[in-house]
Amino acid sequence: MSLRLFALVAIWIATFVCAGCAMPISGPAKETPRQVGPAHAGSTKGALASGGPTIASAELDELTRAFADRYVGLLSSACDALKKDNSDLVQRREAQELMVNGATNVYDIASNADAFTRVLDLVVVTTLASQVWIDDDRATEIFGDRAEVLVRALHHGRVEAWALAAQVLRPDQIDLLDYLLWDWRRQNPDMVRVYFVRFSNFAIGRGKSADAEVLAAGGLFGSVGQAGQAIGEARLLTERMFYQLKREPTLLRWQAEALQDAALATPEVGRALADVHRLTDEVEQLPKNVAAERQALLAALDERMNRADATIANVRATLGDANRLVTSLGPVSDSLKDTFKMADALFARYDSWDRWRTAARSRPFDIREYTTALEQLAASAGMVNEVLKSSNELLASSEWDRRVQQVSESADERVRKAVGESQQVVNTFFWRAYAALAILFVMLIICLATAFVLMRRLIKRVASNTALLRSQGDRAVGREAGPGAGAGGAPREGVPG
Amino acid sequence: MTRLLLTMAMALLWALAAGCSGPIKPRGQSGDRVAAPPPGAEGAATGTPVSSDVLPPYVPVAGLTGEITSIGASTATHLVARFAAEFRKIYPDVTLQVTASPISIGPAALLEGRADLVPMSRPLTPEEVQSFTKKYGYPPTEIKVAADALAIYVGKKNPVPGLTLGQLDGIFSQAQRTGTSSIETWGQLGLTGEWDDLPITLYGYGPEEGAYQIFRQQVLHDKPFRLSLRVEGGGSSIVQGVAADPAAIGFASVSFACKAVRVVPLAGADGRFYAPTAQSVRSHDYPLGRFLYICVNKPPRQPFGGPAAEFLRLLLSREGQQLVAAAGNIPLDAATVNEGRRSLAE
Repeated sequence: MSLRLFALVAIWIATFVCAGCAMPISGPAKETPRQVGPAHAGSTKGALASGGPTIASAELDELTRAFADRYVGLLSSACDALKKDNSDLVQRREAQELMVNGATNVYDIASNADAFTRVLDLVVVTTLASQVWIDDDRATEIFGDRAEVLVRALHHGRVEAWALAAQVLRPDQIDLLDYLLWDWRRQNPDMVRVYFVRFSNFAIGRGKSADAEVLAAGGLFGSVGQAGQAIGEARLLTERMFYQLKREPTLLRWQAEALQDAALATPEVGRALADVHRLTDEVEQLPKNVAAERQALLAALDERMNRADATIANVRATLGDANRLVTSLGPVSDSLKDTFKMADALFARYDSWDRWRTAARSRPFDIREYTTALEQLAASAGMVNEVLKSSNELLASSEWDRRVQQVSESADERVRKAVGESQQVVNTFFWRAYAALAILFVMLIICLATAFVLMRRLIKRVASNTALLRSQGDRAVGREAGPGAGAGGAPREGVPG
Repeated sequence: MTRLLLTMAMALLWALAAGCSGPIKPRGQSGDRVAAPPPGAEGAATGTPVSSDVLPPYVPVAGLTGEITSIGASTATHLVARFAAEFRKIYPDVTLQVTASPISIGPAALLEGRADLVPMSRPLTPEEVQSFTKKYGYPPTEIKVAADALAIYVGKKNPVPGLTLGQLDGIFSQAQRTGTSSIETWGQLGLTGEWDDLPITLYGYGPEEGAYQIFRQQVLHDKPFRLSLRVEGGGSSIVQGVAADPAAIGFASVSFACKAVRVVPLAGADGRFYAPTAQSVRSHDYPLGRFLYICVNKPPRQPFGGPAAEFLRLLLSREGQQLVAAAGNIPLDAATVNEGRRSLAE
């Protein structure tokens, strides 16, 4: 009997122990509403006046998550407005980065286990982001006149975050936290990517602020992290996981856009794109340029031909002038003959006068000399007259005209031949250029098609990797949620299984 | 015996000389202190701006142990917290407990003996002094440890050139004092164009802050603020609220100035406009200058000793005032520092 009783007791104890092992370690299945409120200076010489607001952790959960969604909505709206019709690649990249970093980190904070830490972290990131973009005027520096929409959004988000903090902190703690963040920013003026900063970064551990110690002395840190230990249930963990996972596709899409914007705004890519644009522009302009150059070449040839025609005309005119000159030489020779005659009479008079003057010294006058001279002069004049006459005849002859005509025609023929050959050369060149262009376009189309196929394969691969990661995440969730779900009951309403 | 005395005297003189010029470190086990320079030895009269370099260096004492509890206004507590970090480096065996609280909590803690130091961002009120005196038979000792100025902030594009205290009263007060009129738009301050009909948005501290009380007392003559005052949690938030709102005006410590806002000069008693610089604050030309105080319970004609006294002596030294400047506040002039040191010694 006693043995049976002992065995029953042993079995009952074993059952109890085993059941205990299967229960969630973190406490009761049903969460008891925990009050989160301003911490009190329990360790100081006396307690400070209490009287700050208190709020249940479950309510704080809801408030912080709702705030996170609102903040991301504000931020994404502002960044979309900044990117709309904006051709500035750097501005687009900054806007996308701001949105992605803000959204990723705010969702990361909102899926934190500890509601109190979540509030502080939200205050930290929204305040620091506002300090960087508003106080330090980065918004205006980057976005110029477009900055106003971002300033409004960030300020609105910051005000809401502090209103949330006012639910759990006393006014003096809020003032101290405000100063702590301002001081941290003063110590880290060059940090721009502040969405990655958390309250623990400057409040705990090395390099912590003196004000953080004051907050700690006021009992603020007593609440940090404790909520996470208290709220360790699988249901809440699952909620957090689903909260994050539901927003993951949006974040992934934004990340991809950010990657694209970042790549486009990279100087090297920008230069390469500019080169491609220049090349395409030149390809587009090439036929036009070719036509223009062809026109210019033909115009030059025409001009040259006109110049040749003008030269030939000049030659013709010159020949005509020469003809007229030679023709006019006939009357000149006649007048020369008359001149000689007159000179003969004059010399005769002179001779008689000069002879009277110089009779004493000169030799006696010899009529034969005079006659000989006149005969020679007359012969010379006759010869000149003959030459002129033959020239006149030559110029007046049809043979001379025919020869000039032949020269002219020969020149015209040569010019025409040169023009024809030039046109042929130009046409051949341009036909070859057109053929090269056609080949280039075909090659470009082949390249584009290849890139498209490769991109499709890459996207498929990324999608398959993402799906694999998600499935791994789901399995991890399942593993963590398994014991709690078994003992704690069904998941919350509205949470997909 | 005489030779021994002579040797000791020479050693003492050498130690004093070394202490005056050397870095901050304990001077051995003697526990002696270098006497403070005579009043008036440094700087000129109150109001003369001096560099903290002319102040005496801090000389630590050896073997200091104990505990200091500071409970006070958050604005002044920022400064105390910074000093606490430095103080711990010099005196690692002293435990410091620094707690921020609403400004009215500090005097009560001093009265009840719960705090050794009470940082305040305004002077004690007559009621607070009276309560203390009633209990202890002597008033609390208020020691000025830093100067500060309440700056008036507007957006960086706001062209308002300067303001008088009367105009500030018209802007912030719900019921203006006699002689001032209600000012609700920027056009009433002489701005034209797009500013003409733009309503003024107000930003400021909450009633628990010393800055709120000082502003209300000095500018509004204890009349209430407009209900439209947007109360922010701290000075940084006030300045950012102004930065994000082109029609805004706000008051906060001058140390919170940033690129996105402009500090408006204020008319002094002589009618000239002054920006809140160290010089104009020390000379009292700038009308909204103020001091940060630490209040202690020190019986008269008894020297103030212990870790709390060392903490104050560090504050009122060359190194202390350099830390004041590093914290964004305005260091005291030599005369005010000496006045504080005398208060501790007498």
